[in-house]
Amino acid sequence: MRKYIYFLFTVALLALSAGCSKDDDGPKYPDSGVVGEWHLTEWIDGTHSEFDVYIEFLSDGKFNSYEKVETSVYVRRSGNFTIDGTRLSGRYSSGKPWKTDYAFELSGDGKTLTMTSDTGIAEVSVYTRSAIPEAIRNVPEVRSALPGGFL
Amino acid sequence: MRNKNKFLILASILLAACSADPLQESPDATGGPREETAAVKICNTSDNAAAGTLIAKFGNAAIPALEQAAAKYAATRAGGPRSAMTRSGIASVDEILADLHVTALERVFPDAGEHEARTREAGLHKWYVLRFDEAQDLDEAARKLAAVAEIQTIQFSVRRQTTFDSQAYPFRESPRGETRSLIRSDFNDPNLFWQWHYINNADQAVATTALAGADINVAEAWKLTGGDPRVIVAIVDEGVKYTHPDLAANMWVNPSPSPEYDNKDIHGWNFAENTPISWDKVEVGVGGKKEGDSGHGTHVAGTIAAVNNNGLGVAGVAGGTGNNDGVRLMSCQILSGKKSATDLIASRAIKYAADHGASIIQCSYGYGASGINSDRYYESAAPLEAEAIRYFISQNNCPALEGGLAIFAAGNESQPYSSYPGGYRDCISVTAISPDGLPAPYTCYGPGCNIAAPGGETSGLSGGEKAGVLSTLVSEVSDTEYGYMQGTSMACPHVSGVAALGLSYALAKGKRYTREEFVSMLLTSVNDIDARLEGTKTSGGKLNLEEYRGKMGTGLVDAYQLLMQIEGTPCLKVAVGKLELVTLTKHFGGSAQNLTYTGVEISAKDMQKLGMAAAPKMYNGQLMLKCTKPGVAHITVKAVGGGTRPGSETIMGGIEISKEFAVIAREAGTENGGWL
Repeated sequence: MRKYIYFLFTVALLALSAGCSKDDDGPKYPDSGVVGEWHLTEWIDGTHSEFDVYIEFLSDGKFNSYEKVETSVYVRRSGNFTIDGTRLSGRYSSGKPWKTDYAFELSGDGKTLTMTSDTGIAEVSVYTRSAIPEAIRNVPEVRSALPGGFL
Repeated sequence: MRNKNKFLILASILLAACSADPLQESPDATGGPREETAAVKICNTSDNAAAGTLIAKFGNAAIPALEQAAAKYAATRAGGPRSAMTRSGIASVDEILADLHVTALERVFPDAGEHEARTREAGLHKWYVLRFDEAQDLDEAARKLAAVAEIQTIQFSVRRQTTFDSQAYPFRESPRGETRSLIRSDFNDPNLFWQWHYINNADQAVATTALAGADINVAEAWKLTGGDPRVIVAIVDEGVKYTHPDLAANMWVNPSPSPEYDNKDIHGWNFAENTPISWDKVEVGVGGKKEGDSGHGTHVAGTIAAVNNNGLGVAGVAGGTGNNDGVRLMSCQILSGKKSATDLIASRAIKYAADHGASIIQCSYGYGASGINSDRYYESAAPLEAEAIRYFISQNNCPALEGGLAIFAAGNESQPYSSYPGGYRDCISVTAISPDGLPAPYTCYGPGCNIAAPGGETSGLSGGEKAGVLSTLVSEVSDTEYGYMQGTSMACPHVSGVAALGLSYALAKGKRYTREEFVSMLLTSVNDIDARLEGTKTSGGKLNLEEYRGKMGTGLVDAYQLLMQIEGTPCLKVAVGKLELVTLTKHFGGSAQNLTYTGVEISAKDMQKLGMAAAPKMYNGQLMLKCTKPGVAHITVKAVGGGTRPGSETIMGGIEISKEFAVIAREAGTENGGWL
């Protein structure tokens, strides 16, 4: 009887641990230098004042982006990202994948993240670790039905 | 001319319009049609001019003597504190003045105190007004004065008319109709519901043809700003009733009234009568018809800045959010009772606005069917007013703007060109639409017109007067505090209000614009009207809508778009390696496809940066370009704000608008709007 109970207990434990998917508990990237809040400071040939982008990569594999590129105000998007060695890829919460994958590189002090697009002509973006301003965090999220921002 | 009855004057103007085709009198290449007359100095005609008055611009040489004589006279105060000298102190001039029995000779624009230096720089100190017996024949007087060598220009002080139909309809609470959509504002002004011109929910009680969205889109704008008291709008019109419960809190208060105006110019001044502001001079004339003050000035003032969210009355475009943050209204009164505005009166009012801190002049008046159809003709026929307007737009009275804005009504004569001064290159001329989003039957349209706004239609649509523009009225005149009017007069303050709201937002954002930049933003903050201009519209008359295509200005003004432009200029994203055809809605508003574009500029360096083999250009209303490398470049696109060509000295046209923005070219597809 005891063996049986132990057996049931073990099965239950296994079932419990199997039932909990890897995504639900525990950070996905607890130690990755990519995790944190970033501000785009250079794109292709230098700094640009015409547009602005902030990204935060969260340790649970989610990201939020706050950008003022094609709109007069900041808009927020979100989704999931995956790190595979030195490659970053991701998907917006609408289901659409990022335009491209990126090869990334972190600086020695962990304060700079360089992402290079996997496109015909590579676009090099340099992000600097930087807290995202509260006012920008509070902007509404873009949903696919809204004009000026389609996921 | 002894026409004392305003009605008769109006009738004579209209008759004159019917009998002569103004367009046939096109000026020759060298200037206005007056060049051939012997007295070249006489710049206009005595038709409809004020009796007993002549305006004269003296040459530089005569000024010292004139001013010495004036100083001498002031020292003696011979005729009392408010009288003027009667002689110039220059013998040759005084000979004529004596012959004409001139009873007053004084500067049109009084010494401007702290602003005297810039007044003199603009040459405005050289303008004088002469008064004499009203029985004196004006033409004869002008001819005699023309013989005076010291006088360069002689102008009759011609009367103006307001651009509305003199009818006010009291507001009466009535059942609300069915609506198609329900956009709301949080403001608690009880009558805001009926102001379709701010938020049009296609209320069937307003008109069965009302169109949802045929408004100035101000509900969204009000979430960002309701105004700023540092923005002062001068109402150049009948007097504004500054005690009106829904206006009082937003009235400008003069921090330093001047002795020139008996220290009584608290909220402005009555330049028509040279007294403090008044608004209730009404007489019952021929056939029991009311004549005189109509509440016109109070009505347009309310459209700009009736106090918002005060639980009372109506809302105003820039009337605040209920926190005493509305823009301020200055009453520069040019009409009083049956006394019409004249060149002299209007010019003085405009200069006062400039010298007392206004950054916008709101002018729902103009020459009726005057035959003035070019800037050169206007400048030659009305040099005093043209100079006053130029002086106004050159002053920096708002930290957010270099210069000032002159906004005029296009006119209600249904003519295919704007009336003046609205049509003048430095003025913005506003056409009128109705709740159906279509042109109002009375509106002028065509060359010289720059932008459209709701002017209403108080008869002809199913809702009757409810299809007019609802605002504040003068109870002494209309037995009510609120009511409807129609006219390009009502459309004009919508644009003034939107401009004032824009300046308020720019102040909040710490931004500053040149006149050209701000006007470009204002004229491209529009929604398209043209797409619906086909077939006919029948409401009291029959309009062939296709005739109005491309002629109502750039489109229907949109307050929210203006605020977004002030918020920041979006980048235009294009894909690398693809020939792109882009409609510039983000930068030129809803009318981007219909605008006449005049050029695209980009530096050679930027073309190289983005690997453009050919320069970008406009093609069928779209921007055509191909980039072969990712990167950012700056591009400037120019267009005409109103019509198919910019105005010139001799031909009426639109205002040149220019937009600079960044083009960002990226490798991967553009369907995905996100950065990553």
